[in-house]
Amino acid sequence: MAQITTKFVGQPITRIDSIPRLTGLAQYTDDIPLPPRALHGVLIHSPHAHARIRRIDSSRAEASPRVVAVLDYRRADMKYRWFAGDRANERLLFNETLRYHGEIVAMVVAEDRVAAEDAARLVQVDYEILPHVLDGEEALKPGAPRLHERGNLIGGRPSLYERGDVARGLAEADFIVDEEFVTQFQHNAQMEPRAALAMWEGPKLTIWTPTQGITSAKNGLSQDLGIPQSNVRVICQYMGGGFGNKNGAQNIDTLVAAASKALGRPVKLWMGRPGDMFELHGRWSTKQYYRVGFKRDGTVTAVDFRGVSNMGAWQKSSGAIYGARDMLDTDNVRAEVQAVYTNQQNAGNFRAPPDPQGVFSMGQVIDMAAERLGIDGRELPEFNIKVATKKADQHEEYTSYYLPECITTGAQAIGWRETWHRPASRQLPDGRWHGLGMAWGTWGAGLGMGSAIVKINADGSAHLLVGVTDVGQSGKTTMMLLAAEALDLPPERWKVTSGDTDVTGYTVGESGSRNTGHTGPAVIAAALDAKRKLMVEAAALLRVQSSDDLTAADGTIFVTSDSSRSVTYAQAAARGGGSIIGSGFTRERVPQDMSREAWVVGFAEVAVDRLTGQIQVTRYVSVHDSGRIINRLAAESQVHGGVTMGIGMALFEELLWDRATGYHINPNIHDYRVPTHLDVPRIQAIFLDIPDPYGPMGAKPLGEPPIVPVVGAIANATYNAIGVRMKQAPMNPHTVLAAIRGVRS
Amino acid sequence: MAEDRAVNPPNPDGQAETVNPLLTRREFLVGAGAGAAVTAVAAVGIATISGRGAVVTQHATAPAGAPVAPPGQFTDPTAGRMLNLRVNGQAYQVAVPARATLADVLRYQLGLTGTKIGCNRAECGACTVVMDGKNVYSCTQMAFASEGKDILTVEGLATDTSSFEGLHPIQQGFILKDAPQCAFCMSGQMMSAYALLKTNPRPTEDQIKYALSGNICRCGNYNHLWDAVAWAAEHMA
Repeated sequence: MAQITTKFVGQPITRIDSIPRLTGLAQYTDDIPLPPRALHGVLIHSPHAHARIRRIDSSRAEASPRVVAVLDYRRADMKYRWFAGDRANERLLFNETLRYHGEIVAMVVAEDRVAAEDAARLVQVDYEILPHVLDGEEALKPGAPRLHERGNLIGGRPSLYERGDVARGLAEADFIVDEEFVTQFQHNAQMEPRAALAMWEGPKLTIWTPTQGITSAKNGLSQDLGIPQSNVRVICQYMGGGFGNKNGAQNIDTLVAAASKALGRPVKLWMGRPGDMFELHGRWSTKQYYRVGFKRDGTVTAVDFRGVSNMGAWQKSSGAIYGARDMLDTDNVRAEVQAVYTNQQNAGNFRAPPDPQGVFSMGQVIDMAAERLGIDGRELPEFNIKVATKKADQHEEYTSYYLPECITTGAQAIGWRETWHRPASRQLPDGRWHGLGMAWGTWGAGLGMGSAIVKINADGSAHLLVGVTDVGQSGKTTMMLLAAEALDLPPERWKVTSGDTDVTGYTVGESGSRNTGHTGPAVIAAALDAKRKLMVEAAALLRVQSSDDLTAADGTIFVTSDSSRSVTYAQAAARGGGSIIGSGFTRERVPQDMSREAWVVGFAEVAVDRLTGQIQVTRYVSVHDSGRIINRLAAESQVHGGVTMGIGMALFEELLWDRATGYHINPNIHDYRVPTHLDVPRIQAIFLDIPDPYGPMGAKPLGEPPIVPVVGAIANATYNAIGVRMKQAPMNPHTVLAAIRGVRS
Repeated sequence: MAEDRAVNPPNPDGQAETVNPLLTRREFLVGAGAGAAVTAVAAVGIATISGRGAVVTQHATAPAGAPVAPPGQFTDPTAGRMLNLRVNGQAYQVAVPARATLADVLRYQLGLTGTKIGCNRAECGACTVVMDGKNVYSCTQMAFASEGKDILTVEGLATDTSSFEGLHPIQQGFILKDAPQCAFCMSGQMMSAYALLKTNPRPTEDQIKYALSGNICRCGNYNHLWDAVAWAAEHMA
């Protein structure tokens, strides 16, 4: 395998913005001092799951002290569509028909927030309550309440993937694993509530907003508002998590921009909670049906899959379910997914959006098949290697494929052979039951377009300007390390400016684990361009014919044939007017007929209390083929985070609605429980650290993968502990005890 | 190659691998943000910030780098009752409405925005400050009930925010162990750690977990947080 020798890449490096992040100096959107005459908005949310507004009386609110306006669907100057919130592009900022509990009804705007909050209580809305439907499958039945004219099945038909002949494959099977699985609505529940601040200077809009993609936010606002892209400036210096629900421009960005335009003054909106729980999306819940055929020798003959994804009132994402098409080595697959509108709030992207749902099921299907085949549980890792995909869609070679190595490395780390036991056969001294389980998955490692600027200053330091926003993944530091490597200038000599569309160029955005693959090559190109220009200056200073006669290393440029003749980067840059500017624009592609994937395997050890139904994860090993690791310290943090969210999804996170009324039951982060310090074990992150032939310095994605197999691994571990299959997530005491009793919760 | 780089401080754990903190004055400036309308007013003497909602009379010199301009108008500047607060060793006199929480006043009237509001109802811990030695949720601590208390926020931890050496050992540990990801919860985590280490200078890992269990980190970096607090404990002795 290829070895790349690097100086800075691959080291554990602390974050370039650690000090502002840990001293209170970092300004998140709600911390930014307001421009003069700024107004404050407060939202009114729908108290019904499905209703039509008959009448709004805002007169008392408007007459309140310091109130400027009440904005709702009646205002012609607020009739904007919000594309990111609805793929059919029919969603308005304010809608006359409200389709979920918590949907935005109106915004009260006042001189200060307290006045706006008080006035919001005075707005009288008369609702005509309509029948609602919460469940995806019920929404597909004839006579179900309709969310939209076009019907509840999104796109009017299921999405369908087929290869081979599933009927024949199933007929050839010696046995069929025929199972149903259910997964829940998991809310992103990021710490920072959404906020936005908009200001117009003539035709030009500046918006401060926490976004995972300044370019797509700019383009989204331009489209929503009908103004040129160049008239939109998006600034996001720091943001407090999003994990997919701050992709691009969200409705409140367009809302504050439109309100600011309509009222002629800057407007700020801070969502707070529960508003943020209503308006920002979470992972779509699913119902999944599988028939997977196996031969007695373990060969997979077919995967027949049908799934239903509950997307809520509007379509914000695909509703895809990973696994059936992707995971097993079989020629015969039929995978059909119905994405459905319901009167739940919107579902959308949450860390590896379609993956954990599918691996929860497919990971267990593999486990069940092994048991039916009578495979010794100690050989389960090898069985997983055997049935796993070898080529994408059976014909595309993977650019690098170290799944088997991930599996064997992880099995060794957790002591699989020595520790595995028959299901429900090892009771711990405290009365709980010990279990061990594994699951695996992939994350698409596409490549794409990126841009960057590198400046070399007269003092020999360098400055990287790149659109990548640091959403917590350490993106700024990662980009700097690639540039540092290319320019051979140590990290402490770098400065990074990011997160401002007026200062930096195109960036793909902080989603899909794409930053390194898309923007990384551009950063390297910009650094090399700057270096080339620096060498021209150095050649003149050293009086050599061409910069080809020179070598640059560690902040010094010397004559290759005579290293005693040298200049520093600073001297060369100073000759270049104090600022050598290099630019990079790259468009990388994965070769045709190849597939580039990051591979991930999770091994979980659990202790299960059969009396209370409580599962505790006592150990977790996460093994990654993510190509070359750029920054080992941040990489470990990413793995810990993904696994922790997976534990939350596995054991307790679930946004709930009351069936009778359609009201949210737990739209806060106390009743919607996310993992705390007490819920996670020590998590062991292992990186194979083998470069991929493509991608910047051989790196593949890492942010999304860790969560992919967690729920499946914990489900398998739970089966190993108590001998009961968990077919419904979350595996909380309620569902575990129901499964023990043999009933569905 | 590690010797080619300024390692600062030198290998604190005595471990083979070297963690390189990238902490420069320049980076601190990067943090202030390119293009963002940042107005950090380091007030000396009596600063009256009008038009931003509150009349704040500050009797002491603000710590270097601490933003004093608050992010906007929280309430009617002519309303409210005068309150005397002691934050990070400084006396403040500020007019606040009866409903104001300590978090509201810290953030929107005193401009101490390092204290974050995540849930505004005592669930997440992002707003944690230390009050008379105990960690409290400032989002549910009424401002008027905070008079006469000794309040410490994240802005009061470091003696000098321009270099690693000027940071509090808790901040240093958090950097070296890579505790922050999005970092929105970090002020709260550090204030809980501060309260813990005041009463229990050498906590076990379990004691760290329990002491910080009221502080959610959605980025899920709990393992590194435990390591960070343990590092701080070791270096505060």
